[in-house]
Amino acid sequence: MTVAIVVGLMVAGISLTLFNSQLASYRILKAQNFLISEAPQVNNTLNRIVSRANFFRMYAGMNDAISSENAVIENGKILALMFQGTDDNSQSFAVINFDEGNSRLDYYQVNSMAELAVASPSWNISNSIKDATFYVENGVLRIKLVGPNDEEIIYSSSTLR
Amino acid sequence: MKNYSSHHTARHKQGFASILTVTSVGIALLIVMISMYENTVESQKAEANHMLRGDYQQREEAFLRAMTNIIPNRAIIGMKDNSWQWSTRRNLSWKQIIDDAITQSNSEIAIDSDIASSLGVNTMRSGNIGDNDIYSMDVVSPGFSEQYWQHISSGANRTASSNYPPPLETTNYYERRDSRYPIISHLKAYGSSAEGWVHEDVNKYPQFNIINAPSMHFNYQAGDTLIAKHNWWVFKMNFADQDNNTTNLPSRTKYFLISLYEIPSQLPINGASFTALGAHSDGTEWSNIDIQGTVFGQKVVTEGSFTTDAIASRKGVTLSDNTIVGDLTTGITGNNPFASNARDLEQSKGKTFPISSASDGGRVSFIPINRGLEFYDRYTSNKESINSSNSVSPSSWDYYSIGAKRCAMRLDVIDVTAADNQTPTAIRFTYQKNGTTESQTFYKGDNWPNPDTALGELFPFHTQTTTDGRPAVSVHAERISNYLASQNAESTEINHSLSINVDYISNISIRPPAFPSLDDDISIVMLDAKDLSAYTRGFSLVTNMRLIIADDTNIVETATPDGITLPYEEKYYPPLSMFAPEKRFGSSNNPVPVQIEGQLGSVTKNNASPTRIADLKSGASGEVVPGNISATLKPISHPAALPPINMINWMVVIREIHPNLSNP
Repeated sequence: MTVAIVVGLMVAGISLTLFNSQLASYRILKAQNFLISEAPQVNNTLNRIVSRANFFRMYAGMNDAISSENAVIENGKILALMFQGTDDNSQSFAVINFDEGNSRLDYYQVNSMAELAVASPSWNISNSIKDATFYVENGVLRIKLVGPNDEEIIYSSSTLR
Repeated sequence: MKNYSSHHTARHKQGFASILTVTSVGIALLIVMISMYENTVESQKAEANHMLRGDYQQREEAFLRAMTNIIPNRAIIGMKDNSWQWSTRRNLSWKQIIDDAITQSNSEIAIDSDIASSLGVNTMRSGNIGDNDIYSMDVVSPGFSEQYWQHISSGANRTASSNYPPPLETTNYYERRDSRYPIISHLKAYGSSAEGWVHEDVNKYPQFNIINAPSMHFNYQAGDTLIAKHNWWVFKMNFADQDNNTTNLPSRTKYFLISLYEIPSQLPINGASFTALGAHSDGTEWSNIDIQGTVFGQKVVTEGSFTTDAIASRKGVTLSDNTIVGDLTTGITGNNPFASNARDLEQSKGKTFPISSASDGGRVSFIPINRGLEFYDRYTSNKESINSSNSVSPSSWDYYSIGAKRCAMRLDVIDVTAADNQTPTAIRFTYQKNGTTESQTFYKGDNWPNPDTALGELFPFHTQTTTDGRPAVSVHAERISNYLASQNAESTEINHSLSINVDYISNISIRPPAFPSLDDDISIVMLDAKDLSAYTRGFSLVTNMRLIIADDTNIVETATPDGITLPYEEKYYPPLSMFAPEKRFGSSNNPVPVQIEGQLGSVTKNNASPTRIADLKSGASGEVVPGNISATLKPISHPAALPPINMINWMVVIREIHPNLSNP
């Protein structure tokens, strides 16, 4: 009887340990989820948009972006991409904005930067992002993404030349 | 028995409980593992899809870059005589251009089978599901659906809209041919369909009009407009679609616009070669040379203190320590302006960075149509006509690219005293009359009027010996218009340009002029050219001999044409262009002061040491006296101010046509 109880307890203990370790590794994997599945998707989206734009400009805040003033080349939170129309006259803009309050990376499509004041995002690039920073190093656009667990990943891109 | 049986049953139940526990824990663990596995598989799949998309995008990008470089080459071959022969023509089609671009961009199979077998991986299954041969007609198709039978859609004969550039007009026949081959021709021109879409009257300026300049990182022009003719085509492309059965990758078909801009040189300085700006060959810095607007050079190096508004180049720019371009100094840009953040800083302020290089971008190629010394010589080939024969394009390449052939009037030296004395004894003057050409031949001692006779004083061409003893033909430019009128020839509206060459093909005594010229080679002396106002469309002179500009030239102003607004108190002079391999200013043996207003250009080819475009030589020994040289160089901003003969540049750009949001 004692043996049976001991064996039973051992089985239960081992099962519990196994279960716990499984859960732990699941949690570890889940924590890395941002780097292995979310970030590449964000990169893919950004890179595909940026490389097709004619020019980019970046701003530290929404008000600057709306008035197209005080563009920066470091610590940008808003990336404005200009697309030239084929008649060489018209332009449209793709705007990627890091919304700090909601930890979101939003995408806007507008015909002028002033429209940003009333525009709502066309779509949402990522929901699980803690920070996004745009800056330029040696003529190359760098995009630094910070994940929910402070994971950092930096991507590089450049516009059409 | 009963006891045994009950004992057996109890043990059986205990074992059953353990099995149940182990099984349920096992199942739970399995579920967790499966879920993790599925998650991993999903993320790997997402990763693979991203990789594949990135791969397709890079292949498309490489393909478009290859196209940019192939198109102008094929368009040139298509303008050459007999290019309609199948052996040539098949290489010029859009289909072949697309095939070649796919090959050049290496966007097909990742590893060739022979390399795979030498690596020993030829028998293995490839995990690269997008690794396929690409069939040009599967990935590229015409942009306008009604032209489904074509390879690429021509932009000619379209209705103008804000979605596309202003259309060119041509016949239906050539429109159809334009969809099969890239056609550059004078028969594609702006017509009523582009009225209001280009900036000037299409009837007056059907070839080169003012158009919106493309907004790019490479800027030939200084402002928003450009004097050019814009040939364009449209195609759609999707590299991912043909592998969709294996990749299951959703993809979007993108539309692209191919532009070939024909741009007559219009900048203050056009160096089709490696060009040094800012100092003379003896190292003295430019002192009296004022430049407004963009300067262009194939490769530009600035020396000493140099100031200009903007620099455009094909192959890079190196700045001296004291260069100012626009409002930027070398202190801001660095000697290599593309290595610093200066460009991004300027662009972040909404400004155009004033220094640009076409080689810096993948989808722009800028090609000065530069035949070198051939540009000056009408006898380069026996092609005389603007029309090609048996070729893909109806326009002749030699006519298009050789300035001397484009001249309406021709003066040929057809005989000389002897092989060792090149003094001209006979000339042939050809001009336009009643829609065709008419020639007159003049022989010394016969019907060529003597300069000191009454007839001779009206005749525009004489012989003379220069102060340094060279045989020469003197050209009295002002007399030409009156002489034409006396012969009932077409007016200077049509007879607006003159080529002067020697006919070394039919007469073996005549020597083709050498470069640099020999002491006994024929020279051309430009005289009586103060007032060129009789040439309402301007005047051009092209010669392959040394050109001596003996006196003041084009200093009498004329009425400003419609459409040109000059700054206050600035005068308008008839457009004048003079092309010669060597120019000397002043006919005396001593250097004279030289003052120039307008543009300077160079057609030197493949030079290792830079061309010094402002080294204006004067005097018999061709001295450059920096203190004597002053120039005000400015761009041409209106087609009316273009002289009859220009140097042409081609700019090829491939751009994506983004879906138009405001006008879907």
